[in-house]
Amino acid sequence: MKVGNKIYWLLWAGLILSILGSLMFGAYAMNSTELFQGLFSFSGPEGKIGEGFLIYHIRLPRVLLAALVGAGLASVGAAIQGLFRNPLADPTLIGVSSGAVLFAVLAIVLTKSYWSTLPDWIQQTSVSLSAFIGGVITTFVVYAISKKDQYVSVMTMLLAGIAISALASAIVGVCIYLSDDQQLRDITFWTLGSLSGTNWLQVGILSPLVVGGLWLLNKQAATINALLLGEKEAAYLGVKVESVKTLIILIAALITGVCISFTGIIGFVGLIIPHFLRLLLGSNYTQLLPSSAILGALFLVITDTFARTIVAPAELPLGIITALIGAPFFLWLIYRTNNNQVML
Amino acid sequence: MINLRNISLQRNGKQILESIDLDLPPGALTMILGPNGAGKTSLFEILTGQLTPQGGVITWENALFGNWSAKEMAIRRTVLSQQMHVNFPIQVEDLVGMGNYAVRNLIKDEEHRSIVRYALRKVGMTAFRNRSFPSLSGGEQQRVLLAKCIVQLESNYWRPHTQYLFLDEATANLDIKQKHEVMQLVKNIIQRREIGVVAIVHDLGLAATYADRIILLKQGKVLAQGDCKVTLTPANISKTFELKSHQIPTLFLDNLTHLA
Repeated sequence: MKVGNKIYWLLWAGLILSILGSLMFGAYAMNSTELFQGLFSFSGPEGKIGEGFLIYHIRLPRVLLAALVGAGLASVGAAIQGLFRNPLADPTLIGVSSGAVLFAVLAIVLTKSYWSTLPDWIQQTSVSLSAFIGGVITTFVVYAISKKDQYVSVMTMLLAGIAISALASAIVGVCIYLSDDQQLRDITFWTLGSLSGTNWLQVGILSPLVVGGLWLLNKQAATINALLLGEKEAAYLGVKVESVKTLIILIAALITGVCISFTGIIGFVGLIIPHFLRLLLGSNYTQLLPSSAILGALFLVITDTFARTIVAPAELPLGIITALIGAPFFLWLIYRTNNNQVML
Repeated sequence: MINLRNISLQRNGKQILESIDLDLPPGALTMILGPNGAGKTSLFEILTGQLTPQGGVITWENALFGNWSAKEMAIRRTVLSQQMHVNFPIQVEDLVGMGNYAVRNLIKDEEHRSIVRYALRKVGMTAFRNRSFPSLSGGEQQRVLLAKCIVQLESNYWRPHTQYLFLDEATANLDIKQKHEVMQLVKNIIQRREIGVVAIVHDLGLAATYADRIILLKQGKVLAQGDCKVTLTPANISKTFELKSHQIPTLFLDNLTHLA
């Protein structure tokens, strides 16, 4: 069996175990017997709220959302790194996250007067939609600025991304200043990232977009491989470079946009997951994309379990946990890579 | 055969190429030489389909060149570029296999693997197939890239089109021995099949050793084209590169006396 296949099985097994484990832990912990009883029954004994209710109404949608968002962010990170030929590129760096947050915040604040009168699903879809549009717009602005003579300058791209992020956070700052208490809570939610209050509606909106987006992205795996050699080389091999770039950026903005619109900024997933897998598997995107999706899901399911159990019954924002775990791990990876003289 | 007739190109109001007439026959190694700014790169970009000239006609096996999709171009020609910088640990085998990109879904997995194996053997890099591309030396990288070109040629050899291999200063960063190794491999490819090779080079000695045909470019015009012995004369060399008589490599002075 190839190393790649073994790792797939390990990753899938890990993901399923982490999902089951995540269903058990929480403000109310259950043991494995209770978990399995709960999985097959909705109501608890004597009409009380049972494990089944807890699992199906509260924990399962949240765990599924964590898995979808993790899969989406990690795969998009890998794809963006391939497109820009830079292992340090990340959806946050190219401005898509800050743009999504900015537009989400604008949607919350500008619709101030009649916001609370709207039905829940309209509130959620309109914020998600504007977050998505914001993500796409900022990505294209950053991309257009960094493109000169058919060549995308990575340096310009990073600088443009930083500048646009700064601009976005300044405008978000103005919005915070203008907002009332309820809106302030919503805004804080966007900027720190959290999965609290997840419901099936969100899972329902997110899953077709993320699954569909990842399916499209995986179909581009061989093309991203060719792009790693540079746009010119890819064109020599038969890649329609300009349309492929547009497609990948659109998918990346779509997935990142919708994920962030439900969870707020969750950093580091798109950076460390592909990087770690590249050390294990190499950089063949036909393997890297699917394995990034699974490991990303696994990572976010586990970190979200930490986020809601460490200070239970309260919870920590997820974005803080991913950075707390992700940053030191990433530093260790870089240190190790440097010492062993392995190429990135 | 690729024929160029009356090709002209302007960029930013500057005349880059002017009424170029060229014939690039299959089964031969044609080398394009000229000083920097002579229009070599523009000519190369026109031939590989990256640039469209403003005037003139290019025919490829009597078919009008242009309007071909990226994949249709990829089954007709492959390009070996100058050394490139790759940031990712691409496995040598995977990189060589990318040569099949345009036709990968027409080829069975087993056939794909055997073409890759053949190409790696051909360039003597079989032992390196599991290595990471960025960890190789410059010469090794260039041989791997050539193997990728071989894969691209081999997987389309059954098609009715004549195929071309373009070399874009492909040996520029190599030492003398590596240069000769790569050029010898290219010669072997031509001998195996009727493939046309068109190369941009800076090295006059390399041209004299390997070229079947020479094209001398200067200020966007063809100064001379044809057989080595006819084109690489001291007069042409001095005119093309603006060299004084004592600056011309002695090799070419001898060549003249030999011809006389």
